[in-house]
Amino acid sequence: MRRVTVVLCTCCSTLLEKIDFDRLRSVFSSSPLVRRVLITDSLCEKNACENLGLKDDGRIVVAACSSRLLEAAFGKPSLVEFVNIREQCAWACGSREEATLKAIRLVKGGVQKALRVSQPPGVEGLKITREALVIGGGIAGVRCALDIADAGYRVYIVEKEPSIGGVMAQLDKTFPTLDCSICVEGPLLSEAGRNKNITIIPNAEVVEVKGRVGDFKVRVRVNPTYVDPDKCNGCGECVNVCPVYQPNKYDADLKPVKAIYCPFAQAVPLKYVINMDHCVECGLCMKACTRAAINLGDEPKNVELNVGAIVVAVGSDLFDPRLKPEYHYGEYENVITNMEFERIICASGPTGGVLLRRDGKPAKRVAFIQCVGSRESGPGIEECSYYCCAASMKEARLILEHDREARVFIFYNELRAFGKGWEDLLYRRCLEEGVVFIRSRPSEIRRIGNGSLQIVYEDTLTGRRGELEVDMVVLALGFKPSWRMVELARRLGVTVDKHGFIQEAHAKMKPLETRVRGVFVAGTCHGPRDIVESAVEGSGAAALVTSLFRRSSLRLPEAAEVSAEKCTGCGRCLSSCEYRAIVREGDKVRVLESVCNGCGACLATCPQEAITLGNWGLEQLAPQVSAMLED
Amino acid sequence: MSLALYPGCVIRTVHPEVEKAVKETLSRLGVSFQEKTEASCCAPSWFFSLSREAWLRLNERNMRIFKSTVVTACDDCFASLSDAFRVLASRNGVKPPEVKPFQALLLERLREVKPRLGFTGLRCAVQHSCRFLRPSGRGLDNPEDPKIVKSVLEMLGFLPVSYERELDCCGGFLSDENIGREMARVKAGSAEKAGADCIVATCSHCMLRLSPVSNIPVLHLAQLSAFSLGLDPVQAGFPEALLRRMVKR
Amino acid sequence: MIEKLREKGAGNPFKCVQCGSCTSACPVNLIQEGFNPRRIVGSLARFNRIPDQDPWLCSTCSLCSERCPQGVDPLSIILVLRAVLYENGGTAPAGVLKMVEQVKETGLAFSPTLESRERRRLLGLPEAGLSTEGLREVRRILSEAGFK
Repeated sequence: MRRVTVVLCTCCSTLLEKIDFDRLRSVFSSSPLVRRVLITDSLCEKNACENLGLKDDGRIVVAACSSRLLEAAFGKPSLVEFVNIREQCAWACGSREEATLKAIRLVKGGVQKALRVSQPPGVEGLKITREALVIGGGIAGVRCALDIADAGYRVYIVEKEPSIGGVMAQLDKTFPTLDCSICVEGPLLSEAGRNKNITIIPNAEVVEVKGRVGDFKVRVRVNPTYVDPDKCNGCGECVNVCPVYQPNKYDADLKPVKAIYCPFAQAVPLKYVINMDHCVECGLCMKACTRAAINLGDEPKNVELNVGAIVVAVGSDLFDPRLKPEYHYGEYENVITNMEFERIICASGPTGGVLLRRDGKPAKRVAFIQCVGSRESGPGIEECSYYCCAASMKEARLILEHDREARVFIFYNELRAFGKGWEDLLYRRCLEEGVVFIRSRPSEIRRIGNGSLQIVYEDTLTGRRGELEVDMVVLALGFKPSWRMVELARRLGVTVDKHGFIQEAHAKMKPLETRVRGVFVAGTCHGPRDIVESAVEGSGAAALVTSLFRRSSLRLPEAAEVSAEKCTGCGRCLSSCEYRAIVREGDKVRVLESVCNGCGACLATCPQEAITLGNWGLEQLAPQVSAMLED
Repeated sequence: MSLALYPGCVIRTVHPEVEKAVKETLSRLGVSFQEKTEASCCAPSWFFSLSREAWLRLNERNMRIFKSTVVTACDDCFASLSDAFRVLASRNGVKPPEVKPFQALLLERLREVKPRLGFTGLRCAVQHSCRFLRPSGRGLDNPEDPKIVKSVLEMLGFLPVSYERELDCCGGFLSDENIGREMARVKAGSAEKAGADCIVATCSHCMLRLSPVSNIPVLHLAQLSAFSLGLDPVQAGFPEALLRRMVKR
Repeated sequence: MIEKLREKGAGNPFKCVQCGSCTSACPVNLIQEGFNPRRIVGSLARFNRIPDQDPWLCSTCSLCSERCPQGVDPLSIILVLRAVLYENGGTAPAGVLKMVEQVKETGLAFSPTLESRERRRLLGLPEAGLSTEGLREVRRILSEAGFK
């Protein structure tokens, strides 16, 4: 006959008034199921468990305050059942008689449950692979990888482009200081390339993720570049002989490059790659290469990684301005996007930094239109995209830096300059330098005669309408996550919000964790951010990763488990799971242990009783409830 | 299945040539239709501004009279009928009868029948009705680059020309005559500047507004289609001046 | 006034951020700056005041509703303003009231002239108009809807 120890705590004598502990002692001492009854004053004290000599007692019922407070203080003896006689009993009942009776019922139920618990909750001692995967090599991903590497752990960066760097590498200057963007990022990229703890896997995508925190198995597909990076020395002879031109993504498709190319001068890794969509396989590059580095028969490869933590830092796409046909982007050649502007104004860009229109004429009058694809209920996102007011003010200042005689107009809805240094270095300077701010969202851009553009607007501060003639219009595009990111989220098991941004587990309490334990998020894939915020999140995520790695072993809360023999694949449990932790597998279902939070909702829905969750099955709960209800 | 033809108040009383042209076009293309003379005014925008209830009830009566798919010759009627039918249908939980504007029906039919028509060479500036293009939720044509009427014109042997003010409103529904006329003047002027021989509309109000201020003739699409299909120009209301501008057939 | 808008299923003026897209697009505002859809919506949302602009100046072209990034639908609001003005004082442009009278009389909004009647005859078209029964129905509908 199993016997249970009952421990009653008076919570520093505060419960004596409401509960008759003598009666409790006499009821349970005379029960054949109970070995002994102990009454104590403060279980919450350090080492209370040892002092009471409970270490070898086996099954224990603890009747005291909320287990939330005690679980930690009590330590980890083998099989403990907590009964709350304070918040749920003494504090909730009216009379002493009522409270005492309720306490008796609760403890009786606890005894029945304690007799039937068969394993300690949770799984202990899980191994942790102390290597991390960062998906995305932009500023957030690189910052994160560097921090993890500095802490002494190995980290992989999987990047879909041939080089890391992301959007920051394409910008001319960063706000608010107008520092050269690549000059700031370049050293970080170099360091990432050199760091012995960091392995960069470029031209690659994550295709499958299995496993759990501490032990993820990730399959990465490495796309062929047709150039062996170990042999290529970056001499560039191949480029000279290649007969094919293609649009250059890095230059916002403004200036073509050859089919064999190096993404940009500061690329890491600094290797040449071939874009097979445009290559005609003439073989001239192979002849020109002195190192036999080119192999046109290159195939995609799969790489399997085993990591303990994953950080998603893939960034976000921008809104497609063709969805606003009234602005005629793509039709009128002098309507451009802010990314195209960055490349034009950049000294390493297609025009060598001279502000020219598509037709080669200098742009003397430039207008910016803000909130294109942001803050709207249409095809864009409802959110403010965070960076664009600052970016346009920065770009305005750059224009005037290049040409004192230029005129710049910014059509804004609300001007947001909330960051550090933005008010002074951006807004005030713009005003001083003569940038004209017009509060309006223009309804249309028209084309007049010589390629110039006319903006139709109503100045909402004066109520007057106007038609402004300019040489060039820059559309400040908002963020718009791509289908690619939603697809990656699905593969990882994380959730996205209605716009497609990856959702955190809790905005304030767990801002960089996702609903999957061990998967973290950083940067613009999380939501609209600028460079500073993205780097901050990268460092934050790195801290979470290293904190995870510093544990000696892992303990996961109990996850539900589906018995394959009993499961009929009816799928009723699927809709009951708030965390979407149950998935179909063949003609049965399986619980994703990394995602399951142990709430038990699925157990109740299974008509075959095929789901178990530690000590929370019908086997334990039914007798507990019966005992509580008997007279 | 016979279509219910609804020419609209203005066409019946002010532009009978257009009514004739619509009927002739449909017959010559083998489309069977029945004119529902009992249908009343469809109570378009200015009317339902005053009383939404009157709008709905008049059109409820019309809906009962029509019974089948309705073809409208005026885009104002098209908009009013299709909006009213939609509201009435959702109230009663039934599917609303379809309302087809003349140009959409014509495009369909011309594609099916593929008649061999001569090339007139006449340059036509299209006046797109606000009621037909917008709200874009209707989904019939692209409000930024409308193609239906232009495609029909090409198939009939005419040359649609683009002009600067093509997508502007003509001011047809304005009660204020001065503003309305000013808007129409800008519109007509732009069409003339682009070298158009005539302005082609699909809405009575556009025609009423543009005719007084335009130096070039303002015609309904049906008048061009009927003429193309063989109706004599006098009956179609096709001006002599235009006949002279045509390329020899 | 706001309740009236909701009642009649018009757009929600509180969504408006006063960006000015509607007024920039408005063809009437191009000619008469006093007519300003943004101000009309703003007057209702911010001050709960019936704007002093004449809602009959609207050309009902729908461009404002097309361009609005917040989905406010200013056109529907302007149409409800017309209804409110009429309900409270019977005011509407003379031309519009004439058309209502015309429908009461013949069932059609325009009256045929002798000349157009003749043209119809020459073209072989039947007389335009409703039967007596039809007219009675139309008149009944109009008077029940409040048109004396």
